[in-house]
Amino acid sequence: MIDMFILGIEQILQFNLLFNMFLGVLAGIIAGAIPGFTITMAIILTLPFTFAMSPTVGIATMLGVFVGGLSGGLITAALLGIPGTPSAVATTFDAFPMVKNGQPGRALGIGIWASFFGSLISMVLLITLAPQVANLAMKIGPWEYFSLIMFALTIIASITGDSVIKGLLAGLLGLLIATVGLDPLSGSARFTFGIDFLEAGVPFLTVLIGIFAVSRLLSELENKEEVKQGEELVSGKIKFEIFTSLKEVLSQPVNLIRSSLLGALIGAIPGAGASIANILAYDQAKKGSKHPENFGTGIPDGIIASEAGNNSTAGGGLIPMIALGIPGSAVSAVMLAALQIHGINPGPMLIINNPEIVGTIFVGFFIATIFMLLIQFWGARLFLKITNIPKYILVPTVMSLCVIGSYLLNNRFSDLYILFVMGVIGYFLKKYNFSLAPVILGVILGPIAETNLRRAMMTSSDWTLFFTRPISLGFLILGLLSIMYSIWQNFSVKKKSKIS
Amino acid sequence: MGELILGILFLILSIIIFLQAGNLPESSYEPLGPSGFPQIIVIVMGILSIFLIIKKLKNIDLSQARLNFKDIFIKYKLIFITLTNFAGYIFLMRLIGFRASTFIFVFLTQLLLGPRDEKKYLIIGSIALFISLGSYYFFQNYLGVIFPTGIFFE
Repeated sequence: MIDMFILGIEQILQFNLLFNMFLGVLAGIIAGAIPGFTITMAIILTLPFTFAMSPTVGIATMLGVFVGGLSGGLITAALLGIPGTPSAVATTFDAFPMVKNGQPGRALGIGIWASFFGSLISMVLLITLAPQVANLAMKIGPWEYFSLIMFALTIIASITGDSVIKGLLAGLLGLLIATVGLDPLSGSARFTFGIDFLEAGVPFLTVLIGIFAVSRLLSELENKEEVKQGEELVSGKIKFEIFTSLKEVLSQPVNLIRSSLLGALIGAIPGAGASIANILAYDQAKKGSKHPENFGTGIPDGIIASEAGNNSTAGGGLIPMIALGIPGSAVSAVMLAALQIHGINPGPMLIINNPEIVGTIFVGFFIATIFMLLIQFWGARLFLKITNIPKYILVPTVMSLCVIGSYLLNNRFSDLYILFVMGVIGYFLKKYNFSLAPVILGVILGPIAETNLRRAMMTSSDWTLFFTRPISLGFLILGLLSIMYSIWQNFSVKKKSKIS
Repeated sequence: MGELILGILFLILSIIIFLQAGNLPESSYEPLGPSGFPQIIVIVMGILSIFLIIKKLKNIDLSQARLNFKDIFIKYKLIFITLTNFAGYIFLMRLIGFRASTFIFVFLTQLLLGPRDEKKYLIIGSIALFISLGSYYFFQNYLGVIFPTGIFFE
């Protein structure tokens, strides 16, 4: 464990790495601050830039974008009342009223410190839990692995979006996309429909960029008036009192630790990411408070809960990714894809085979958090200017970056055709409220699921083993329970809304 | 209505893939073969899409459903413009190279999406120039990527 840290510190302390990571945090904060741009999109667009970097530098840069992005949503949430990302929704509840009460510096200061401590607490959890989970995971066979992936997919499909059926359909579509091309075991071409370039398969990076980024950019064009101008800016000066806000955050240790632990835990559960964590943490803070009636009027408690809650999902989300090779959210799916592009296979063996990578993630996480703190206090005012760039400039510019990103991976034109098709598919799915995260996870997890299923069947053709091996059965039951729970929840929400 | 159409498309997709998978060669040393996993996926997909179709059919009022392409075009004009430009961009890149096609795409799309204002030509022109040339030289020098040069620069 200590060796891993020393390795991590050795890797981190290179000027090149620190510089790239700093730029990553900066890019993440800016992307997080632009309403309509998600953290996932920022990480996807950063990925092509890391191709030429060494794996450790690449991962550190992406980590920077991740940590920065989570805190970037705070700026617009507080100052404009618009969450830059879904993970900052609850931040608007109290930060925006506080800004309206004439204390923008205080709102941002508290949010930045809460993000900082949330990240730190989740990092401690990541470091202590990831190796333990990986140890456990080494003992499982292909049956358990397949069932675990099924569980991850069902929970992701059922938690996200407004309908369980649509979530599951999106996940299945992802699994299906991953089967296009040469079959990994037998080598026969599948579902190419006579199109030659499809034999090489559908690269997941292209699917990621198309489904997430291009579709998102297209949706941004739906409101014609908004396209022509940027968001309104808050004018006037923002004055930070760094130490006063630090004191305010530290004066609520219970709220801070509860929200961070809750966030880290939610982050570790596949499917439940920062967008849920901030609202749950806020809700818990309100329930546990002596003065719940003040929530929503601009009190620090709400900002602390929401920001600590969403930032701590970063560390939590990395636990299943590092230990099991299973991404807990779309964001960690992209991180996983990044590792794979650099030739590293996440999973239980990662800690043993590539301790320098795991060390870099652990130490890098800490450094990124410190960078985030510095950049936020130094530049929050400047980032607001970027949100003022109108959509008619942003959309074509970012779209051309999507093209570059897709082309870079294999230098193939055909990938651009796939990008176009995926963008259109993603747009329609999004338009009709199919959540997009399950598609991505399906694409990434599909090959792993298929290989494990077939490996299990090759070892023994007895399919009942999936149900008679206790751990495998446990995962399958959990998957079923998660679907049933979501159906029940959907029903009760509908019932409630009918009554009211 | 859109969800219903998507449900039907999902159903059609599952049927096509199911039939296609049936034509894949079987493997003698493994029971599932290349067709097993995709078939499991599309069976579940088919069942779920039928559920979705039934659910949507229950709530739909067909007398209200009318397809007016002109209205759709007007409502989603900016998206149509961008998609057409995007398709043209991808197509043109092979012919006229990365730099020229990127410049044309970024410039033209900004022009068509933005407000009519002569003062902005300089701004959007510089942005298009910066993106097309900047990314070309950055990626070429820093990452060693070879972008298509096209007929003008050969």
